[in-house]
Amino acid sequence: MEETLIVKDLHKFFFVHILNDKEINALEGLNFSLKKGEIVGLAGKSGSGKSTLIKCIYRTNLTSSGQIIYKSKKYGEIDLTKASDYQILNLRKTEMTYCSQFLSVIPRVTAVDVVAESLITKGYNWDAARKTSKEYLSRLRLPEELWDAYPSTFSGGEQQRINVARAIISEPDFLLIDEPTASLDEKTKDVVIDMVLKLKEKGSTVLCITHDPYTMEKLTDRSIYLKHGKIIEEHVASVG
Amino acid sequence: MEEGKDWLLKVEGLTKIYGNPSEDTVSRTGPLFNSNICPKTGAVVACADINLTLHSGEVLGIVGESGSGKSTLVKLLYFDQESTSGAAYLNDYEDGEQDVLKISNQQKRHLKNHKMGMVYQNPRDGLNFRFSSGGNIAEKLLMADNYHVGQIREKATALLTSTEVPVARMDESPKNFSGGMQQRVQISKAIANNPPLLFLDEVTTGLDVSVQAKVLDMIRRLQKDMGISMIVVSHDLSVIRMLTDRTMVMKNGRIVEQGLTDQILQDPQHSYTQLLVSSLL
Repeated sequence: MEETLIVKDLHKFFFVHILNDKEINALEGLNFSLKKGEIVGLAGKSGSGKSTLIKCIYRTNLTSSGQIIYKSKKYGEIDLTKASDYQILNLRKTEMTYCSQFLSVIPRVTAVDVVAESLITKGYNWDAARKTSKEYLSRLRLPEELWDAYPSTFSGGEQQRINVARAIISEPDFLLIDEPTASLDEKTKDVVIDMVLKLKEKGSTVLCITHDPYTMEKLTDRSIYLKHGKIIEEHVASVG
Repeated sequence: MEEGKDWLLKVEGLTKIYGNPSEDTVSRTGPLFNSNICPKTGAVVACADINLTLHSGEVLGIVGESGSGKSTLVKLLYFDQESTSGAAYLNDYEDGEQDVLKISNQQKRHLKNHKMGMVYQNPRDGLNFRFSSGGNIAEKLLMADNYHVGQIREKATALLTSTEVPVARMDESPKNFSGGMQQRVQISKAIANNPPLLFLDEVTTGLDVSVQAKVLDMIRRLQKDMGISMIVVSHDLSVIRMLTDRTMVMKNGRIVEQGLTDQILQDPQHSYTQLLVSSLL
């Protein structure tokens, strides 16, 4: 199968001027690739560089050196570390989505609209977008009385469901997702896992950070382990 | 680079210097010297060597401390001030090939009335307090060649409704209004001609927080509904975070860093940007 993403010799260090030019090495020479339609788990202790890596791919972090080659529908093969801001914005709008660990949304927008907005950028009208948004919230078992409330007042688990819904609803070709099941109950966990698997059926490629062995086993095709910013192990999940 | 004809505004080498510059005024000022005053002649470099491209439907933030040149930049582009050097091109003006900083004043006025809008920090700069609120909007519509009185009234009513200004008070002067309401009248006026390009200069500065939230929500909604390209100038990173896709950071009249807004906030590179982000409450 063809590769969607190829990471070559990726380095990331943070240079903190305001701490007397302190240098922090976060990622040291990563090499790996993702095949199209694959779900790959990313594991490792806190501080091992998992989120830093995902943010480098999404350009929330600038890469210090190395390449991240992405096979894009719009641009063909493109190095995400060198693409223009404008190209990255276009990719984010049309094919690449990042679902962070914690919900960060525009204040004073209701739960339904936060999720629906992902579809608006894809060209839906508000009525259709809100209708689909409600379907997702209902499948994720978010109590109906919260749909018209502001997510900033929600519990951790409720916020996480909004976050997942808003990332998955637009059916991105490439999904970066950080701890999607961390604060969810078993039943909702299964719903989320099921939703991501449906994306895979449609051909999406997924890179998923998770600490949860259950999610790792049910969801991912294989996994990559990070330690101190280096890959220490790669596993192929048992077939079953 | 695949950019095509997707750009709306292009700015090249835009510079504004007050006083008498010498040959090396620009090279002896800026963030490296932590000053925008020429040590030789005392000329003040408000901004220098500014390059930027704004795409259709895009919102670009400009952030920086007071005196960093960010307001000057938008005032030059809105022809409120004259640049010392540099060029600016609008895609839908003469096929994007005419430097609009070099056209006649009459042509500039026409361009402003038909293609641009500006919202100033102080509503007094954008509104005429001797006119009613409706009259202020009518003025902008007239300048954009709308002459049908009935239609003007209708459009003004629709604009004030969408910016949540009570229509019952449209015949009153904005001087009787609260700061937040004045700002919303000013925004109605600025977008009355359906401009593809809107400049916002510190529009929420000085408003109390609940009013600030309302004005920001409104700008965001208008941007989404109308797809206007915007340049948002603010010293407030929360405003930048809420409204913009891309951000430029200015210091001593220069751009010290630019990037996607989430990258500027989470992985700032320049020492000044790091200081700015770490100062965020």
